Amino acid sequence: MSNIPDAAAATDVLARSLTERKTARQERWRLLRRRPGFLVGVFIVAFWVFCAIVGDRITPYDPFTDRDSDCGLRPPCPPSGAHWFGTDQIGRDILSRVMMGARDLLLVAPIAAVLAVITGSILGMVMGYYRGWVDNILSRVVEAFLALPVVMVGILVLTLSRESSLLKAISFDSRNILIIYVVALLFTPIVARTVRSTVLGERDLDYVVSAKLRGESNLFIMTREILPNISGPIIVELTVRIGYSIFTVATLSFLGVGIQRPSPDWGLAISESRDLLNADQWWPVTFPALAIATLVIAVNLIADSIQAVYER
Amino acid sequence: MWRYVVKRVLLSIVTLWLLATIVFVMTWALPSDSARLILGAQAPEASVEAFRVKFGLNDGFFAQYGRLLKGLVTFDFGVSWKYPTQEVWPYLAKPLEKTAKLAVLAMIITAPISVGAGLLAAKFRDRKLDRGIVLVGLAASSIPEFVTGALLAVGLGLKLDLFEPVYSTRAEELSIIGQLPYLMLPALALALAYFGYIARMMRAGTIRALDSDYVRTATMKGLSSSQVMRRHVLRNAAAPTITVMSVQIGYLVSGIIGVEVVFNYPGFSRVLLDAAVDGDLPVLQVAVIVSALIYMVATLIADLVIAWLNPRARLDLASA
Amino acid sequence: MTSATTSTSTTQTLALDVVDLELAYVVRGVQRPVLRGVSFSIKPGEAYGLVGESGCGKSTTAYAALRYMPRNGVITGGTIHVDGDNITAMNRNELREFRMHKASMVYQDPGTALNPTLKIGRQLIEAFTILGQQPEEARQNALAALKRVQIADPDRVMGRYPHQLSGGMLQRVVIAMALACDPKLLVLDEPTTGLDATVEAEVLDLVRNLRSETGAAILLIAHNLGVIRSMCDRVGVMYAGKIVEEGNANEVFDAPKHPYTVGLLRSLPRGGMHKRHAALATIPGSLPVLGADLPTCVYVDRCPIATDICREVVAPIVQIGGGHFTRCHHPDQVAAIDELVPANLRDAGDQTVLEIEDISKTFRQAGHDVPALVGVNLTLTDGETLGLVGESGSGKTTLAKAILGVHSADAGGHLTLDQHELAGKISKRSTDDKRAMQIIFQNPDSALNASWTVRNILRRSVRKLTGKNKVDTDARVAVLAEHLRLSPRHLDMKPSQLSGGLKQRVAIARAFAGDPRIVVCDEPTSALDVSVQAAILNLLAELQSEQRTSYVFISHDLGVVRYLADRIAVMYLGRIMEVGTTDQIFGGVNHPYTEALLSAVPTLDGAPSRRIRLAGEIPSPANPPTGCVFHPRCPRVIAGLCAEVEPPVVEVTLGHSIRCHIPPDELRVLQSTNT
Repeated sequence: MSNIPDAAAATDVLARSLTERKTARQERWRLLRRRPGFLVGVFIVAFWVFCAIVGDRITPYDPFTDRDSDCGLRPPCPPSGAHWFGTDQIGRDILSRVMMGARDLLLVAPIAAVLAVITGSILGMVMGYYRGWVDNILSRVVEAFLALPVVMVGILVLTLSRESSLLKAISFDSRNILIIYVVALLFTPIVARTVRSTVLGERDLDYVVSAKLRGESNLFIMTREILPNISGPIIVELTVRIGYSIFTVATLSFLGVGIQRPSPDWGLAISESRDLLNADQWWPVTFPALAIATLVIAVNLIADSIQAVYER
Repeated sequence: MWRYVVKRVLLSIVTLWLLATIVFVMTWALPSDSARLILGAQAPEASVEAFRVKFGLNDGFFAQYGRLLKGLVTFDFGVSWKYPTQEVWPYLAKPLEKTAKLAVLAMIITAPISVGAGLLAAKFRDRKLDRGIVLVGLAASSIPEFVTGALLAVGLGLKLDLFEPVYSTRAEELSIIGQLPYLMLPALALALAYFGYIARMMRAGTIRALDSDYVRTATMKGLSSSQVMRRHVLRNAAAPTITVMSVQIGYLVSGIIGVEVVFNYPGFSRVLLDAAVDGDLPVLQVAVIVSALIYMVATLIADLVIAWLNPRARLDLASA
Repeated sequence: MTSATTSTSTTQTLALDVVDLELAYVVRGVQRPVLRGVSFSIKPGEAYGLVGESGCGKSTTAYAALRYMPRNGVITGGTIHVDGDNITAMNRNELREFRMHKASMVYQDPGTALNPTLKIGRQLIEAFTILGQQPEEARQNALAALKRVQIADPDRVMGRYPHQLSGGMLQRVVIAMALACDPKLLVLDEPTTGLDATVEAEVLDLVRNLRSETGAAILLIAHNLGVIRSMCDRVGVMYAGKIVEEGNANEVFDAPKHPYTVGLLRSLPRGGMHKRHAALATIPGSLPVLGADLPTCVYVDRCPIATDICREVVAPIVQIGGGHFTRCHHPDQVAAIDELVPANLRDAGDQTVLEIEDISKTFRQAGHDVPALVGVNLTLTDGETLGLVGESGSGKTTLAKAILGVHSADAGGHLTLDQHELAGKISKRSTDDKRAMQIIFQNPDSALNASWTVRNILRRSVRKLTGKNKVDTDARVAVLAEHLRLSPRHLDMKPSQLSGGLKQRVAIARAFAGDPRIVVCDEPTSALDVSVQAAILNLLAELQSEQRTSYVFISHDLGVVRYLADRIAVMYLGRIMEVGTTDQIFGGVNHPYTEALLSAVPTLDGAPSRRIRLAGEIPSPANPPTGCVFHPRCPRVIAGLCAEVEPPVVEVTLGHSIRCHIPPDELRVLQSTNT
């Protein structure tokens, strides 16, 4: 908001003339590409996605095989010409493991975030659009979920469901699917709250009244009238949620309840080798930690840029 | 104001009941054989069954749910299943105290620095200093606490040898000052995470206040920029920052688990993780509910402080 | 301090002297000129008004007079002197001293101009302590200042927070604050925009009185030309960052010499003008975008009398005499600008379309019943425009929404459309009933779905309301677009790409999609500039005449209502206080509230109007006064009666009724002796 009304009006006129030819989407994309933070973020994320997809076809060694014969000592071997990042306590090449370490994380976390945004958006739209007792009750439940620390509930659910025969029956990768469900469940209320408040800002606008006056159904108003107008905040929420999802899954893996062995997952790797810090052996912890740091910062740089462009 | 306080507290009690229910339903619905887990695979079936009867594991949903609610009201949750000589609450209280020590230290380190950085960033908006603070804040808050902890342990602990890279129970025999080298790195890891959130919120709140019409009025009165800052901006910028800080105190509990594990710190997390692995449900349920309670109390206090700072907020909340 | 270096050789030091001021906003690194050489001056004690449409730079000029600019604003040329001091050359400290002692400002929105977290007292006292006064002295002065702006209980107001006071009260506080330093120059930026008519009149009275008391020079910015005329000695007309005409206020408004001023004045309904007499004049084209390249005359693209020279040579300043000048090549030809076109409209019919019987609406708020509408009775005939007037909280919009079924009225009342009873809620009405009643909203930005194209907006309404197939729908959309003068290019745009006037046309087209019987117009032009408003009003009148549509026309602008309405209903706190034909309402014997409302409006024609002062503020609908709801503010209240007994509705003449205890004949005598 500008202090002087003329300024706002004037920039509005300018914006109008600029968009005469371009759609708002193209304009946003143009602005995004001009943000260095966005470009750096995309580059880093693309790098890790590439590594995760190509995997052991480009890693210097097989990430799952021990190579303790490569250095004269008992593993872990410190970084050397043969092993740039050194080897871990059972002699596996850390560089190779770090390169493949994002494979599970980059599958599990974004799917969980997308799921949470879908369910949360539906829930939030219903709450914000209908208001009344539906909203009152659901809001209290959402409030209760928000008070629960995500990681704690994650630990609780993931440890207690070790023996679920149902989950075992679903598929070979049941652990990761379970993580997806748990993280999605925990993020759904957060998304619902955001979407609800956005819908509250829209539902009383005159275009909604106008739709009611021509006899549109509630479903039509929610999905065709309101939804396109809140897609911006939902996209922002999605990118932010992906960041938090990576954060949460990595933490759960580090705590031993997330992604399981023998995955070269970074959080898991830090967890397995953190005792080595006592023995001054820093490399098995440091490289996966740096990898996580670059990925989450990159994702948040992207989220931040998208947010800035949408809220301009 | 009092009506508002009463209303707000009553709502919190409803939330507490709901979240206790959520936690109970989760533990009840998940297939976990606590008796077998605690007694071990070799234990004879008879003693396992005796365990189940003793702790009411065979009771129906409402009997077990009722016990938990009664425990919440009387604040007597019975004994731990794993260590039946230990009552749940004192068993949790000790490590919680240690965790609180870490959290308070982190807040002491981070609060003034982040508030100051946020103000500076707002004052030098869109300049290099601002961009730097925003970027550091973004990085600090996006990296999981355990990763920050691990990197700090390697950097400041192992390489620079400034602080102890791993906590040791030996520290507990020392004075509080003597403990600092052991506490410093876990506290810093937490502090960095909060720095990002608080500084960014302070910056946003300050910018919103600086752009407001009432600051324009104050400037036009002839107030200097420092007078404007002190008398008109700070009070208005404080509200969103206080909210964020209270929410962070809540999430502290989450983030702190990772940090405690990295540094082998014998806090709340160890009890929680042990209870989870063992299926020690009374301890697990109460641990989760207590951490939610911490969050709720923090946000409650924050809301009250904001209502006190900003009379308009009282109105909004009263009608909510 | 710099000494006086004014360019004119007056003996007196000018209160404000702006010379060739150029100011630009930096947008994405490019300077966009906003002020293109603005020059004007104000003598001590003089009141100067700046008028013009949005984006012309008048507010920017006002703020520049205290050297306050948005973050992206830069002064690129010219000087500003206040009381002899060159404020364009001041450093930060000098500027602070200057603002502290010499100039003050009153803002458009008093609600946001005060700090929400501090009590009024603290903020007002600050204006005195900053001058070096001790706390107790400052407090006494603050109390005195509140008394001076006619606040009855200053002690109580000092202990309040801004959100606890009404807009009128807040504006008084801001004025008190502005006068704390006894300024040489007082700048008022749209000080009464957003205030109700009776409150506006009070605030303007106050400013007028204080002006003679303090002798401060006044720079007044307002888009309402009537306000400017009633307040200012001299006036400047701005267009695209330039003053195109300046002179004595009466001369400029009565004998304008710039084509833009002529256009602006002709586009306003004035002097009792009615749609049956003539259509309003419109200005072709639209305002230039910010930073547009306007090398010669800024108005040339829209000017009806422009010739080749206007496109080649910068317009000269032509003196008319008496300080009146115009920036035009052909000031002698402005008289040739088209006279108003006589209208050819059909009169309203006498067939009743809608009957509103005993409609009430009670909202439930925080456990209390809030009556927003109480026993409303009205009728509407075919092709008729019923004007609904009244201040905020009077229930105009609630009534409109009850008619449309957006919220259902309380049980007991009836709505009858073409002889059949309407369901209360829209969802229970038939498609035919839905298509029969539509609405045009005040703000086209929120009325049109921003993510739909214009074509889809119209198409959907046509299909939903008429049930036509795809081919017929598209044909109907084309017809609508042609009627509303929307080109096919516009149909494929989204609302954000259209100007305010075009957006409102789309909204009108949508309302007419299914040949409605009744269209509710809820302040349809109040978000638009004057020249755009005229086009919309003409369009509404034409459409009505062609389609025999009835309008319920809500507006706070009595001039617009008088022009467009056939009958008028005056509302106060959810009740109809008076209803009659436009001539009956404006012709006399009025309810005391109507009387006050009519007298509160500053007219553009300079006719001296006798103000009826209203005591107190509009009461909250949650807690309405007993008896006649207007009695606490009524200047003609009858002690012992009005406060106890609800007045009856009395028919004055056929079709003209008043809800008052005083008999019409007595009212006639009272009102004629007063004027």
